[in-house]
Amino acid sequence: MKTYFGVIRDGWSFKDVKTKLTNLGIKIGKYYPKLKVVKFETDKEIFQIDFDFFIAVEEEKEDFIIQ
Amino acid sequence: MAKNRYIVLLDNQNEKSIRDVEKGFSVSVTSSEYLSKENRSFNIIDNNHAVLYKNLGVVVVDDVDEEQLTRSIADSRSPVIYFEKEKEFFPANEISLINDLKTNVDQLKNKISELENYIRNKPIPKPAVTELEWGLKAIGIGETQFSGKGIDVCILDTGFDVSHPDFTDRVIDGKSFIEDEEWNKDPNGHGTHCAGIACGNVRNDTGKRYGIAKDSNLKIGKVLANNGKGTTSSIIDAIDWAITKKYRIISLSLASPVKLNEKPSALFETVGNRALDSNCLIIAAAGNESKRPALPLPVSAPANSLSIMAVAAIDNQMRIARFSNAGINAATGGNINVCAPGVDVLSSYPKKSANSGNYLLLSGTSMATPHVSGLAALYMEQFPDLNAREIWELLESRAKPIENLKYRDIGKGLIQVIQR
Repeated sequence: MKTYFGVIRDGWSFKDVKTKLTNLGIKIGKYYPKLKVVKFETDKEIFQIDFDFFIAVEEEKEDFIIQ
Repeated sequence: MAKNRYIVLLDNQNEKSIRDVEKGFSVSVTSSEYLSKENRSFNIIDNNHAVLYKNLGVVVVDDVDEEQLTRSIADSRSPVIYFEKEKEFFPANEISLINDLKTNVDQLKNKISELENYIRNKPIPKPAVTELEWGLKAIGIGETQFSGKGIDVCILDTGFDVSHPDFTDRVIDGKSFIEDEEWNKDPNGHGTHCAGIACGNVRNDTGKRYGIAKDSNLKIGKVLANNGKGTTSSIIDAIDWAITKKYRIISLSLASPVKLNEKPSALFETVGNRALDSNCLIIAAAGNESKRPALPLPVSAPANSLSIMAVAAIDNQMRIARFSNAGINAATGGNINVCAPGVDVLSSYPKKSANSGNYLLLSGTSMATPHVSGLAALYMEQFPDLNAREIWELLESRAKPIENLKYRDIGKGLIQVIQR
């Protein structure tokens, strides 16, 4: 499973986004209401075109380190 | 003694009207057609006469009762329909003189303003600052009385050693976003060091100051594991937590390297903007990948997002730190905003063995970042009405350029306290 973050586009509610993601067979990990960001997991290859309700979708990075 | 002179407008100029004026105001009206070189209007008027300007239907008269003139206008039987006091007009050359003076004052104001800006932004020369606490001197900490009192500063890092003797009497809140690791311990030590720079006070052994916002409210989010590594999840979780708690400053002494011409993360760009909208300023390390002077590398994520303040590091000779990343990807975002002390910086550190101390010198843009976070807390205390975006602008506008260092490397320059 890969973890992604989707930034919800203005005008979309989390409820609508949740329905869309569920219909796509995607499991929602967490919703950040202050940031309007959704964390979700999927094994499928994802394409931005399938997520018109997100400004951007980014895969989780694991290389943040102390500076 | 100067007399008041009035311009009186008549309804008509027939004989009855003129007689009414002469009788009512005890004057003798002379028609302007009788004026000559020998018989000038001011002489006539001064001798209890009035002059009638027939073509204008106006009588000029002086030394009359103004209240009576006012009553005459109200009286329908009176020929007087309007009057006004004579105005003085300056000769053109006097007006010019005043305008010239005004222009000179404006020019002087501009010159004073230019001089003020020059002094404020004068490049910092290269002094040899050799004391351990050189970083605080470089930002002018002795020139301010502010201490960040009441400001919530959140350090997202490897945790914090709450048993450190300099912090035992402080109330510190925190939360861990790393599974099975606690926020209030810091086996790594990096988080305790960064928190000490931003929010520490004085050493318990020498009494020398090493922290900036000593009266701020220290908040800790553990987003990096004890091995110093973290993920997007832990950082986003913690930022959401900090914003929900209404913390004013989030300090990120962490980074993920980016490639040349790589665009900033849309996720962190949005997160930075939504934090600013919630009156929270995110300040992040520019990254340590550079190998200067040969190889400066671009600002890392998330500092490369335009909505997150990027901090470069300098040493005590006012040189750019050899490891400090630069605004190489500026076309796509990723410029440096300011710089701060980041080489051989002394701060609090967990005591790891009987022989080690409670303090350590460390280097990195990690150390530069909490200098900016601590100073932001001082600004927020000093200017309580300013929002997070305005505090950011102030940090940049008050930063000083450094001689021979490029904007690409240090942005607007070395952060400075605002004297008071």
